[in-house]
Order: sequence, then structure tokens, then C-alpha cells
Amino acid sequence: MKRNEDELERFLDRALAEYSEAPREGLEQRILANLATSPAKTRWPSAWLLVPACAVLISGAVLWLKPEKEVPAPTVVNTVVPTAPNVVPPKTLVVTVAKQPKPHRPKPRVTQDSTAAPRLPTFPSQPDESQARMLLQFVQGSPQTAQQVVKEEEDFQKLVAQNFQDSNHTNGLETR
Amino acid sequence: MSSVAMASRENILEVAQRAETTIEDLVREHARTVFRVAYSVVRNHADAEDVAQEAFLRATRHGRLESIENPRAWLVKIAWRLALDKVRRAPEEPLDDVVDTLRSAEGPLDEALLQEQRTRLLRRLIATLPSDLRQVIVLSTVEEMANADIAQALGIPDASVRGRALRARRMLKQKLASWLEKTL
Repeated sequence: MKRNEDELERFLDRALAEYSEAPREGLEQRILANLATSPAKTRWPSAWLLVPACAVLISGAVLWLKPEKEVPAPTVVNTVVPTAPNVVPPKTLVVTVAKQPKPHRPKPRVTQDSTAAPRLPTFPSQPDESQARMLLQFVQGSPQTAQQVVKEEEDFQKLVAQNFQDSNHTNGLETR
Repeated sequence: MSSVAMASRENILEVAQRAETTIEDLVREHARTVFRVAYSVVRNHADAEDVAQEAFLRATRHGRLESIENPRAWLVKIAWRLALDKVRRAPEEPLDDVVDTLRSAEGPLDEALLQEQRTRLLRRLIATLPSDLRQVIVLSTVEEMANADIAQALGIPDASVRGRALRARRMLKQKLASWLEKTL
């Protein structure tokens, strides 16, 4: 069935005019009543702000609580050389340094001094036997002089100790 | 209570009262337009009222209502978007009874159908329009909406509204003619 243009136009005019519809009575009152009972306004930051903020807080807490890794002390191994009198000290010193876990930390510097005497394997180090023998000969040969030397040494130590105490006392007064 | 505290309390109460008055004014002034805009999309009283409620609730949550330049256009835009979200889930209405009526009817097309049938047929035709034309023709059916209001709500120039409305109407006529020819 063919419809003419006017008929179509009229239909559209009428249908479009009827397309909108008025609300039921009391719409404003219902809206206002609903607004009055709606929960109070709470303005939370949106999730895209909360998530990175939480991430930063958590990572900060982890870094704060994480115990700092102890760097193991380098192990220095000396060749055990018996120190006998008139023995030429060995010139080579084997040094091994443990691997460092953090590369940015400076490695401990181990200097090899070929002229220095090798450290003794035990502590306290024992006196050289030749010197001990000479001291024994001196004490046995002139005991009075030896006693006097010992006494003078003790007096000197006492004097040093006394001076040290005095200076400490003076500093303490000044700082107050 | 000190005078400063009293003054602060007075200010708070005054500001709160002003804000309340503003929302109340908005509701009284624009509720019907907002409802009609919502209804033009959802085609259902209950849903349109829900949309209107939600639009004003969002307006309340926004705060600083006095700073909004054109509250009507702003509310219409909110209602329009809310209504579009709601209508996406709506099923398509059947037109079998419209076809039956038209087959048996004589006389002019607009008088043959009931108002509800005319509206259902128009709705089906509008649904087939491109979205830019559909938006304009739907909003232009709301009697309170002038071209400037539609332009503001959709964020397009006034001239575009006029052009789209004309194209939409022309296309509706073609679709109606084609539908009638195919169906009857």
C-alpha cells in the first residue's frame, strides 16, 4: 500500500509530539524526599588515586622494615710461616677476598707491603727469642740497674696516667 | 560559647541552608525537564523517575551548585547519560499488533493506530537511526528543549542540531515508507 508524503508527514508530526510524556503528579516532592533520605555526602578519592598511594605506602614500609644485609668481612688468609730466628720472611702473601654482595660498596683494600715483617700466626705475639736472651743476660749481669729501669718505667707510667686524669677533669669542667 | 564559635556556627548553618535551597530550587525548576529527557530514552515512567532521582542525587554530591553556569543543560546531560546506560539493557518491543491493525485499517495512517502503537512504531524507527541523528531527534521531542539546550547537552554547535534534526526527520520518513511497503 502506497502512502503519500503528506500522510507520512502527518504521522511523524503526531508521533513525535506524543513521544514525550509528562511525569506523574508529585515528582518534585518524591525527588526531594529521596534526597533527604539519601546518605550524607562522602567524598572518597577515586580508586586510581588510592591504588598508587597504597603501593607507595606498602613499599615504603617494606623498605623501612627490611633488615640491612650484613656485608661479610673479607677473609684474609696468610701463609703460615714458622717464625724462627734468622729466617727470611716470605715475600708472597696469599690474600683472598670474599665476594661482595653489593657491587657499589668499595672493596676493602689490602695492601701488600713486602718490606713489612709477616704477622705472627698467634696473638699475643711472642717476643723474639734473640731479644729475650739478650734481656735475660742483661738482667742477670746487672740486676740493680734492671730493677732501677723497671722502677723508672713504672713511675713514668704513673705520671702519664696522672696527667691523663688531670686533663680529663679539666675538660669536663670546661664543657659544663 | 564564644562569639567566634557562634559566628562560625552561624556561617556553617547559613551555607548549609543556602546549598539546600539551591538543590530544592533546582528540583522544583528542572525536575520535569529532566524526567522528560529520561523518559524520551527509557520510555518507562518508573525508570525515567529513577533516572531523574539519580541525576539530582549526583547534583547534590557534586556540591557547589551555585558555580554551575547552566544548571538545566548540566542536569539534562547527566539524565541523558544515565538514561542511555539504563536503556541499553531494554529488550525490543514487538510490533505484531501494529501490523495487524494497519492491514485491516482504512483511512489515514495516523488515525488508524492508537497513540501507544504510534509511539511504539516511531520508537522502532528511531532505533534504526545513526546515533548522532537519534540523539538529536529524541531530545527535540522534549518540549522544553530548544535547539540551544540540545546543543549544550550534546556538546555540539546549534547549527549541527538543526542540520541533524532535519536529516533525522527525512530519514525517519524514508524508513517509515519503506517499513510500510515491506510489512503491509
